[in-house]
Amino acid sequence: MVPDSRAKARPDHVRPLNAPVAISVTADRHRPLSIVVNRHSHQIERIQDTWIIEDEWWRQPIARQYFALLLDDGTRRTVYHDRVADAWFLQDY
Amino acid sequence: MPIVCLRIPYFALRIALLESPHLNGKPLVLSNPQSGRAIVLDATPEALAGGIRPGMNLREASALCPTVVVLAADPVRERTVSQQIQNRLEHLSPLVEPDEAEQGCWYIDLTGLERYYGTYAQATQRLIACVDPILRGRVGVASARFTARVAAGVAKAGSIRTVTDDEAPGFLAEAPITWVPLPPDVIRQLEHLGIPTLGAFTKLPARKVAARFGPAGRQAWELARGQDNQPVVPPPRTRTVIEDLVMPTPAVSREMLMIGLRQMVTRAFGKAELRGKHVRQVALHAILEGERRSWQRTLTLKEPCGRDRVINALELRLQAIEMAGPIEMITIEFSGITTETARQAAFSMMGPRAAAPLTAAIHQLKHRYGLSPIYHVVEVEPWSRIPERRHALITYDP
Repeated sequence: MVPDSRAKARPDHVRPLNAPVAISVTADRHRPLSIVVNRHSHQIERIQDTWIIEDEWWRQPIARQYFALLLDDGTRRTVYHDRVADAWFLQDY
Repeated sequence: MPIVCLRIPYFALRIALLESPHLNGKPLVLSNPQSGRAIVLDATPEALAGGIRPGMNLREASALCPTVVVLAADPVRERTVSQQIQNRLEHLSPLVEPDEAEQGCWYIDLTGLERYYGTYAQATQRLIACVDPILRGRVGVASARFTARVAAGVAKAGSIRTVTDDEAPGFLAEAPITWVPLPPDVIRQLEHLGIPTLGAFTKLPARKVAARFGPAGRQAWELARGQDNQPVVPPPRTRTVIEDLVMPTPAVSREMLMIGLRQMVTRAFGKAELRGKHVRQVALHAILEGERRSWQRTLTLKEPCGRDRVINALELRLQAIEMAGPIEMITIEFSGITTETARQAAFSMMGPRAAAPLTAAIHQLKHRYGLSPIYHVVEVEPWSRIPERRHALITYDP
């Protein structure tokens, strides 16, 4: 365990963790068919789970549909479709 | 009609018949006689007909059916026979997947093989011939995995039950609810709710099934309706190194076992396949003195380990071992072989005694680059549904 440094937290000292990464996704009616990760295209073998998050409608709405995917190389990835911006992102949940 | 399900019910009991065919037709039960409370783990139809039920006390079972033959589990033998059958099936089709939930059950995709074997029926006949008739294997053929499994479930021993696409909806609707891939307690609940068949189950509203039984219930509901597009996915091939040792005298103590294991690990890491490499998983299979008894353990290591650390890990994990009997032969199997070691060093430098060098290093880096490049993870909103808001990196600046 790292001992508390007792240094004051400053905004420039804080970095986000697990920030979403924009990716290219081929989708059919907002259901992903293939994704491009690190310049490699992967077909989606199976959508293992999907869930929706809608929050903060009172200021800047957040509306995401997450998909837990099994890719053709056997790896698992979680992506989401940002329904507000109509864009796709990669993010562990 | 490309997907075939091959099932051997009561697999752990049936394999005993390979060595003792005279037991065929007798009431057999699988039990754990070494444990303090011996109960019936599984029973053949002959034993069930005698009133024996899984979970029953072994004494009670013997009283109900005096001719019952009690067999102890032999995991090493089960694994060997299972692997032999899988190898034979893989000679016929490249797509063979063992069922993870049920031992003695395989799915085989025959797509494209009809030109090689003539017809699907001929290919299926070859599949069933892979299994010794005494094991009473049965085969279901359909265009979907779940339908093929139910067909294999209702097929008679040694027979093939084919369900065409036209027959499938009616066939599934009449199948008992026990075939639904849900835990036994959930199936009991469904039976108590007056749902005896898959057809009755599919008449329930999907949303209510999902609300009551969760995602697994919803998936089962879809399967029961014939909505099944699960492909047959063969398990990934893993490279393994196997080492055997026949004990000069049966090992009765942990110390004797460790001497043998040390010798085997040293020998294995001296082989070309393992020299200078590390392993992630070690499986031990021991054959015990006496008839049809074995024991097995799989150790998954926290990180890839070389020879010395594997020995240390074995010593540590086998400290509390209860040996079910004298060990005659032991096999050790190394898998997850890797050349790289992803060793996560403990932050010993963070301890109170060693913190000073780290602090000095950070001060130097800060002086050189203007800020500390060392961060630590802090919780920001761990309850947040938005993943990026849960944690953040904050500069470690002592």
